[in-house]
Amino acid sequence: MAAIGVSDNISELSGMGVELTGTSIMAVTFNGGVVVGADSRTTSGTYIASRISDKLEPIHSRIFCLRSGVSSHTQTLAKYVRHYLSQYAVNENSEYPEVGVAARLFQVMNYSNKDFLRASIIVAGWDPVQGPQVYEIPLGGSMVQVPFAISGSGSGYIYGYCDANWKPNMSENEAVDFVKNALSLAMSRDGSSGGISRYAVVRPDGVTRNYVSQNELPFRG
Amino acid sequence: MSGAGTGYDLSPTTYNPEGRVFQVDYAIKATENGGTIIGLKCRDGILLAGEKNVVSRMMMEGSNKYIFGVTKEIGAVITGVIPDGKSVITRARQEASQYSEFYGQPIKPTVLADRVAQYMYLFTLYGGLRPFGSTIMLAGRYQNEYRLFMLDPSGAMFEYYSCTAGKGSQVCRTEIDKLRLEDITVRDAVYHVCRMLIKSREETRDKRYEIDMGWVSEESFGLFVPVPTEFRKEMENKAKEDIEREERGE
Repeated sequence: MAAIGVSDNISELSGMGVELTGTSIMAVTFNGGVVVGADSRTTSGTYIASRISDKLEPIHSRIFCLRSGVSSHTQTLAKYVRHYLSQYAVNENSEYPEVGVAARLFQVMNYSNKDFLRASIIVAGWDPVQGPQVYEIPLGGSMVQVPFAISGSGSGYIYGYCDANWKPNMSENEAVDFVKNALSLAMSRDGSSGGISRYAVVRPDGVTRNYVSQNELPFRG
Repeated sequence: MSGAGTGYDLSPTTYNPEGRVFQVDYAIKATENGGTIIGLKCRDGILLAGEKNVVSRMMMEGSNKYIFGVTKEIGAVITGVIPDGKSVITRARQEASQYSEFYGQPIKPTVLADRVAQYMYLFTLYGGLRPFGSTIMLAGRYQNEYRLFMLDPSGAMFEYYSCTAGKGSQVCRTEIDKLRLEDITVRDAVYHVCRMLIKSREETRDKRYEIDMGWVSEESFGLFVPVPTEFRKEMENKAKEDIEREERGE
């Protein structure tokens, strides 16, 4: 592949100083909104480029995206989607555009540029039409709506925990605890994830952001 | 005072001293000569109807309709220069399908109407193009809300409770104003519209004509579909008989 900064070989990429988000990210629907959460470590090879980065990227007032893959790719995708979505919201006179539209925009761009991008995105939010929604758009550019999603290098270590502990129609507190515990477990086992865990709760009436500091994490490897 | 044909009407790129663009006005005139079309927003949906002369006995009945589906939930009726109208409908279909391809959602009637109006407006800006000589009515449902729009050759677009265009539009307008639209269903409206269209035909009633109708309503589960032919014909015949009876003074 000729494009600069793009390679199938992770170590080659990180050797070139390209930032990767080795990461743990997740999003969960509950009966009234969604909770999105992520760790705060951005690595460039073994160097921790940032230990307090914010991977919770707002796309619109009630829509977030969680990014994993090559940082520059995911940041640019998010910028494009934010641009198109804001135009869409203005044209359609909707204060809260549909989450599915944001997901669709990510998907169209991820799929059409699949040879040049390494980006795996979770889109989560609330809209008045369909309520709380979570969509996964993995590397190939497919899209699927799910009740909760986990992604990033740390996600592999917590599939069992999530499958065993997720239940439908959780309350907000249950959902937040689920996210805190799952991320903490992932961060304790994945070398590329760590720092603090940030989370945000998206409800129809607003968004609240918070974080769990290192000495408050429930599971510390 | 500059009237028509005094050199300011040669191109859409010229205003006259009174601030009119004559070519656009002429295009609107072209729509006034077309068959009458009606859009009615009733209690449970929207009915679109149009009538046209049938020139020859050799033409197959039901061919050359002026009512079109644009998406599953949005339909249109056209009048004026029919090929112009058909070209606009083609564009409307393309806009709708590209939109749903890009955004993953069916296009809302408001957005489609805006896009089509912008397209028609485009043709009033250049010397090498002429404005469409066709008036388009768009009706559609989005999320249990029914919306009706009328677009004219200048690119103007307005939303309506009821609208008429074409030759018999004035007569139909007065008839519509007598109805209370919030109280009737689209089913009831079919009879009333048949009455209006038949009454508004200035030529002798002996001239052959055809009425086309389509509706988007609760009854059609929110889809824009043709009004069933037998039902429409039944209402047409009933309307014709009632009108003849009234004229005989009974």
